[in-house]
Amino acid sequence: LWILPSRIAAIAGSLLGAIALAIAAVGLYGVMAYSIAQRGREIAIRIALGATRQNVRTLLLTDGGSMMASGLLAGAIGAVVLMKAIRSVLPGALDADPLALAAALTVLTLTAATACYLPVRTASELNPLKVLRRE
Amino acid sequence: MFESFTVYRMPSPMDPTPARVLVADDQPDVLEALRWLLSGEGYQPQFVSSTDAIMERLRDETFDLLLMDLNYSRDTTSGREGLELIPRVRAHDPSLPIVVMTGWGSIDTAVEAMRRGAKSFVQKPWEDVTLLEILEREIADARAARRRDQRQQRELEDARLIQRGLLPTALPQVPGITVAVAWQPAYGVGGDCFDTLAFGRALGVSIADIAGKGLPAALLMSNLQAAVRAFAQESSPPSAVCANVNRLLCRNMASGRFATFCYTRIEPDARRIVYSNAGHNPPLLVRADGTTALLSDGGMVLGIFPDNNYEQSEKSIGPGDRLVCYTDGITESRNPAGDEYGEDRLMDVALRFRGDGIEAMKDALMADVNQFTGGKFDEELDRGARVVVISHELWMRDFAGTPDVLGRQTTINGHRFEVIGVGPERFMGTEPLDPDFWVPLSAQPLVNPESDLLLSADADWLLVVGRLAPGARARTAQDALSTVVAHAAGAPLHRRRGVAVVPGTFFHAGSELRPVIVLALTIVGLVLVIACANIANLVLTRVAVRQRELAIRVALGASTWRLARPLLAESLILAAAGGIAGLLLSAWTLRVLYPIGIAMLPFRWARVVLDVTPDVRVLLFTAGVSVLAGLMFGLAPLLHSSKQAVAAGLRDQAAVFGLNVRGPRIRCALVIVQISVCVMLLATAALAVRSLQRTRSFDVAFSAAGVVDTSAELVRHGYSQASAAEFYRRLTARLRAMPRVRDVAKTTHVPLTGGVRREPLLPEGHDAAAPISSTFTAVSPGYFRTLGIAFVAGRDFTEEEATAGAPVAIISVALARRFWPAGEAIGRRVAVDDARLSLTIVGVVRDAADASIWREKGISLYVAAAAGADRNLRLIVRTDGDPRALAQMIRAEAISIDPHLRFEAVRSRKFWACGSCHRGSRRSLARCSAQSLWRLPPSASTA
Repeated sequence: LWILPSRIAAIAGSLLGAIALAIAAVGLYGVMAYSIAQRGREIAIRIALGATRQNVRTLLLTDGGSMMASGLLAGAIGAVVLMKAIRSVLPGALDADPLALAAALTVLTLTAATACYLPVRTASELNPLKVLRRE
Repeated sequence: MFESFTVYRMPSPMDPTPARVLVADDQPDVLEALRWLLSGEGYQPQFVSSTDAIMERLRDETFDLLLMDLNYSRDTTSGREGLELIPRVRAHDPSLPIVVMTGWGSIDTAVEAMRRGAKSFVQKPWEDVTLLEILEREIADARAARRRDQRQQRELEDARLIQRGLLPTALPQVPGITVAVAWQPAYGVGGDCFDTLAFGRALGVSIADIAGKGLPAALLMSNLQAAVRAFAQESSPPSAVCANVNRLLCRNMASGRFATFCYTRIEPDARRIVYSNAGHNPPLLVRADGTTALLSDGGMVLGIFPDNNYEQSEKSIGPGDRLVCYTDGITESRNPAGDEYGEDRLMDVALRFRGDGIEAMKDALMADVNQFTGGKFDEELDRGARVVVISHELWMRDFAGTPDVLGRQTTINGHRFEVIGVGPERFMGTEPLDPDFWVPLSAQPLVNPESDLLLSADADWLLVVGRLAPGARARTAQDALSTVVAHAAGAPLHRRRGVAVVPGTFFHAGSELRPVIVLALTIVGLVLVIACANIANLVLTRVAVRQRELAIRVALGASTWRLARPLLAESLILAAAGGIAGLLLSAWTLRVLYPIGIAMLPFRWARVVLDVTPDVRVLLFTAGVSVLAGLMFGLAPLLHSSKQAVAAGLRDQAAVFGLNVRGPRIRCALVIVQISVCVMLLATAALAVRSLQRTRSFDVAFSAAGVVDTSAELVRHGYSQASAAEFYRRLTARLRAMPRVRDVAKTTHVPLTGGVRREPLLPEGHDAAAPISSTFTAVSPGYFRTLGIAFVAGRDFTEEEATAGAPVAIISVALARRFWPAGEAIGRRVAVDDARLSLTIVGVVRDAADASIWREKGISLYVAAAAGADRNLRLIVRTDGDPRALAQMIRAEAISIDPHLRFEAVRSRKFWACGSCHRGSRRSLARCSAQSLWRLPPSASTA
């Protein structure tokens, strides 16, 4: 019985974490893809006016990145609070652990970056003429 | 009715008294018919017509038989009323035979009645011949049983008188020796006896204790007494007396029985006593100058090995010296709190009164014991009905599921119990303990003589389970019960706070689990938040696509409600579909996950069956959440779109830069929420994984691989302390001789198995105000080797220290550093238990885990286990081979020593050895080595 709580916590936590990660990744991708699609006209005009693909990418990634950064920051604070709460409830759990937090942040950054980058790349490669003509 | 005359036989000539039969039926014509029949047949029938009247009549008079109908006016078909009465009648008078009358074709009811204790049944309409036959048989049986009981009582009484007569009545006269004797009988007859033999100028004193109680012990006692008188001649040395008596007893004794015995010859002329002690409580020699000695030399208990040799020893004596011989009836008598009188108290009294006359000393000793036990001198209470309800599993396992198990006698820890019921299948009682049987609370001291909970002032062990009346509130019940408890006579002050009424649940979730559950729900809630954010995003996206359309429709004059309707309908359909899919999915995942979850439970919970199928509440919750989600997501875009001016909607679309500002901002917020919650969840998961890793790699500083841990609660099984020690001695010897066994050791506590004893401890010379709490474990030599706990300094206990119970201790490094940072702990002394014990430190070992890995390991103190001094010794055995096979062999060896022992199946447990990493080698984690547990459960066996 001594190990049981932490084993269950580990399994359940990992499971829920994975589910959450998947949902969040899909959501992030969806939002980025949609907002970029919405801004298709704007991007097309920017490109037509001489913006390089790099410019476009930077513009879009800055938007996504700021979102990501604020999310990660809020998440880090929340995580510390949550881990403290666990510590007080489950005997034997580790105290708020920087390593665990770092791991979570890394995984999320990678996932979020991928979810952002894919639509951005698509956007930066679009043909302005086609877009503008469709309007 | 005429035919009945032709077959009727006179009641058995042995019983000339007419049988008194109580007949209960609510139909007057039935009573009338029975009155005719029974009176005509020579019975003395009495008639009642209601259940209450039955009990009333039974209280007032005695009957030979109760013939009762099961159906009464209240409920005319099921017979419930009559069935419920049966146990009450049996509780009132277990020997009264009950014959039930049931309606035609209701054989199930009859079976149920028999299960509850009815002896027989007749079906209505009855045939006179059959009914009379049944009555005659049952009355004869019951009368015979009652006679048997009375005879047994008489026999027991006779045996007691005879036993008393065997003890010396006149005290011998030997010049220079005065003798005083006290013999106080326990309940029934026992096996304690003494004898004194005068040999001119010397005196022989024998004292013995036959294992067990009752008639067999009394018979053996007279045998032993006669043997001693035959062998103890003036010239015979005590060792020869022991050897001869032993040889004789071995021939006469049934296996599994034995006796402890001590023979002492006092020779005042030679100023010495010569003695030989065969496993008896060592007689106490109190010298006039205040020094004491224990007469413990000799050999093994009598009656097991015919060829035993016994040593004899001498002690010098002088004028005024006292020899106190006693049995465990003195040292093992208990006070109401459950403490033993013990040898220390005996020695105290003996020392205090050594200056007084021998009679005064004896009286003081007996008075002290009586005072200690609260007036109940070794009282073996005979309380409680000796009845037992066995579990369905035990019924199948040990009784092969036979229906006639009811009424059978079985033996539980040496006491005979009658089986009166079988529990429902898979019923485990109110705690996940998986019991084999249930006995009445009042029979608890019989099953577990070590601790008579009924004498304990502390009622913590008692869990009262009740069912609230319909409509009653827990709060009301709690107040009412608290009042009762607070006014209970003799309740200790701290117990008067009241009673907590909590919902009855298997897991007593109340205080401990609640935060865990709240936490788990929080985490699940966070996942829900992420999912919601996602859906909100999707919905917003969908709306955004239709924004232009909506704007145009608003512009064309569509009302808000008209716009809302399709949106709402759509959302609700989506939400409902999602909810249903979720339910189906959860039903499936639960089916898949349930066995996995159950497999992770500790083995004693393995039979717990949890109902995880979603019930109405779950359905309602899901439906509620789905509808709410549908409404929210359906209405949100509506607010969004209706608030926006039509023009704004149209303009937005036309705008080139600075798109729909509002939409993205909400979506941004949603994305941020998703990311942050996700970080929280992942961090938690990572933390949990890391915690588990730590548990696995936790350095418990002992190695459990290949170790089998066993405990035999022999005292519960009717062993005396001495015989339990002897059992262990023989078992240990046999185990040591086995191939592949590397070490055998004894201990009072095996690491990581919970509850360890703690004692306040104070190094001598340190401030008395600050004792430190330390674990206190008695171990045998070789304990540290067996568990692979390394010595840092000093040495292990020696065999001599262990047998003598020498005041030496081994402490852990943490404790040593605490008080002697420079490492000079060896040879220092520590006072334990309020300075009652003063121990010299002989060794320092590594800090090993104690009760559980969650507690900081460290401060530990080990003392040398005197053989058998502690009742709850556990045997730990280390093997090179397969621990499971070893466990089986231990079992076989133990059974070969005492065939009456029963063992649980050997089970392996995974948790124990999870951290067997030792001396830094984290690689060699033996994640599951079989720890086997055999114990002697107080389980029933057919007698």
